[in-house]
Amino acid sequence: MLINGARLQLQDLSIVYDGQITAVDSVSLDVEPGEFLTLLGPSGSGKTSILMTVAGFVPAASGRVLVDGDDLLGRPPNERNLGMVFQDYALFPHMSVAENIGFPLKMRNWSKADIKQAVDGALEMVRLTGYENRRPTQLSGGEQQRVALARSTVFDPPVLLMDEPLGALDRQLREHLQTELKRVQSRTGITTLYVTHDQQEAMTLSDRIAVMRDGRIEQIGTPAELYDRPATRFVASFVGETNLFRGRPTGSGSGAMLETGNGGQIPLDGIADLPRDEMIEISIRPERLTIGGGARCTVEATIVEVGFAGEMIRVTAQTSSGDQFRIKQQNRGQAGQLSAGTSIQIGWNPEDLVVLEQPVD
Amino acid sequence: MAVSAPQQATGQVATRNRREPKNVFQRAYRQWADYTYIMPALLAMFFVIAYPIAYTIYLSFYSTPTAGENVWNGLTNYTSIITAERFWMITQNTMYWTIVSTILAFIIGTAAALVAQREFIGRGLVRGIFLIPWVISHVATAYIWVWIFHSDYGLVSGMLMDLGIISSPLVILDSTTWAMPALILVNVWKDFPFIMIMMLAGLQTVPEHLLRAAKIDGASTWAQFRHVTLPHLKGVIIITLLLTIVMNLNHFTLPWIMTGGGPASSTHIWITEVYALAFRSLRFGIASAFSVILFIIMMSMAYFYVKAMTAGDDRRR
Repeated sequence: MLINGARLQLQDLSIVYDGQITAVDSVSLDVEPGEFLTLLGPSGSGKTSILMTVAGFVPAASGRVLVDGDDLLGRPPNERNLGMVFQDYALFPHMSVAENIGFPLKMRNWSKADIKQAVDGALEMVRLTGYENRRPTQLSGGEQQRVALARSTVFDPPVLLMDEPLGALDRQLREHLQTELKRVQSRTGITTLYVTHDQQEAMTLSDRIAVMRDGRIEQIGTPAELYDRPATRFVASFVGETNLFRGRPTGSGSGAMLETGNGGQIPLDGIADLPRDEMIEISIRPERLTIGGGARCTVEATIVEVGFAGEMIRVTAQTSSGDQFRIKQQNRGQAGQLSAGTSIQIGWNPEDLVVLEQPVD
Repeated sequence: MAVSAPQQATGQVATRNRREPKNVFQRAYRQWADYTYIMPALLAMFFVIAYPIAYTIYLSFYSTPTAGENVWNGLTNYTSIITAERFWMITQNTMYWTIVSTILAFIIGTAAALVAQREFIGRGLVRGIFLIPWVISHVATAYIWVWIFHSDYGLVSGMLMDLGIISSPLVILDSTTWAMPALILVNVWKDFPFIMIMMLAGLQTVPEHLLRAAKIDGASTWAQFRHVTLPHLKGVIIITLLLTIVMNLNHFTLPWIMTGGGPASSTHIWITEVYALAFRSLRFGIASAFSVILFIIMMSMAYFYVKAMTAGDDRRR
């Protein structure tokens, strides 16, 4: 089964609650046909409001929501022909699994034979064949969510909306279902708008991620772009862990440095076009830092803390000027050699260092 | 804490041994402490309920002349009731009164609940107005409506005559055709707020996320009500209907005050007939037999009521 997903466009969409609280402020977004796009952000960032407005449950203050050019605003939810998976599954407890999945088809006046065929196909897709006659209460959380997924896709909607669908599940099951979700989405080719606050989940599932903050899109890009090239301090720290340093760039070429105050200097070797005499902020991921020589940029530091996390070792080290580095290293049995008070050389390559775009206050 | 294999096995044996005994007396014996706690209440109920019931059953097998001793007559009271044409006429009245009153009150009460649940300006006032019939006493209600329906100086006749729609006063409560429909109208007016409250309470328990899921799945407002709201309210509906049926079967005040069972017994129902037999005709024996028949019918309703109330418990067990 291959569904041709539709193009979903949000144009200058604003959502205001009670005429006073602006939840979403002029957001524009294009989701390509068949794309899996995630709205990622903390609570109150407006991501769920956008999803609810696309679904038709929350009115928009202004802007447009287009599916293949067709404006959905003003239409009730039952006339939008969208699929939606809710965080709490929202399965009808008085219906069997087959009746739940067949419900959208029944509402579209499909014949019983066609409903049965489509339900069988949907059950097979979510690997629940044989569960037709069970009640939702007889299913585990993961099985219920798979039924919800089957119900939301059985009528081939052009766009699928997912509101933190894995939020109520434990970590192991969540990881398993992430794979299932991705498999189903790839197989159906359905355009998907996904909402989560879990950056790991967003990175695993998405073709692109829109990071939201205070009702606006902070940055949009592929998971790799967001992780490797975060535009702002918020994105850098929300999507994964990072080390952030503020200061004024001095020197040039291989002698370029970031003066962080108290005499602290961080090498910026090879980074061109840095603004002179302006405060900037740089970000470098903990796993891009090395301990020991061999890197183009290095600083001397003293270990403050060593944390053991199974496959990883987390080291916190501080330079003489007080700049603190967090370092993540693969555990190769070196934990015994690293202890608080040990002097180390922290190194990195210039291409791993990102100068954040947003001006520093 | 890890449990070793022998411990697990012992646990399973223990579980098997603690299985519920099938014998009801053995189960009751296990809960002797619970029964001890409710014993005072049971004793009080025995004296105010069980004793009168037992005495009524006792009387039902006797002829009770106004002068002289009661005389044992076996099942004669029962057979004379069942074989009398009047019993079936009154049973027909009772069914008509109960079924039509219940259905109409249920439809209007549910509609009122759906209206009262929506958010609109003045909702609290509307809810209050809907409750007025319920808070007025039955006696006051009966006299108000007797006045409204009165042929000579009633509100209905007066208004229709003033408007020129009719030329002579309407005969309502004195008509064998219209008396019962008029009583049913009053009964529905009195009862629908109870159903509204029950349904309103039920409607407020319908999860919003289920309605949203139905909407996004393409369900119209009616389809949401039909496929989500109504199934969710199934338990409330059954209990409300059973309670309303029992209330209507036992309804004495309205028919007795408004028509006294007349005209020509056209509004006599079981309960008014029992009262008339006992306290007008002083035929306590036959009135007791009639009461026993009603008691059996009511207890069968109670059985369904308890079954509906405990349906959830059975599923949870």
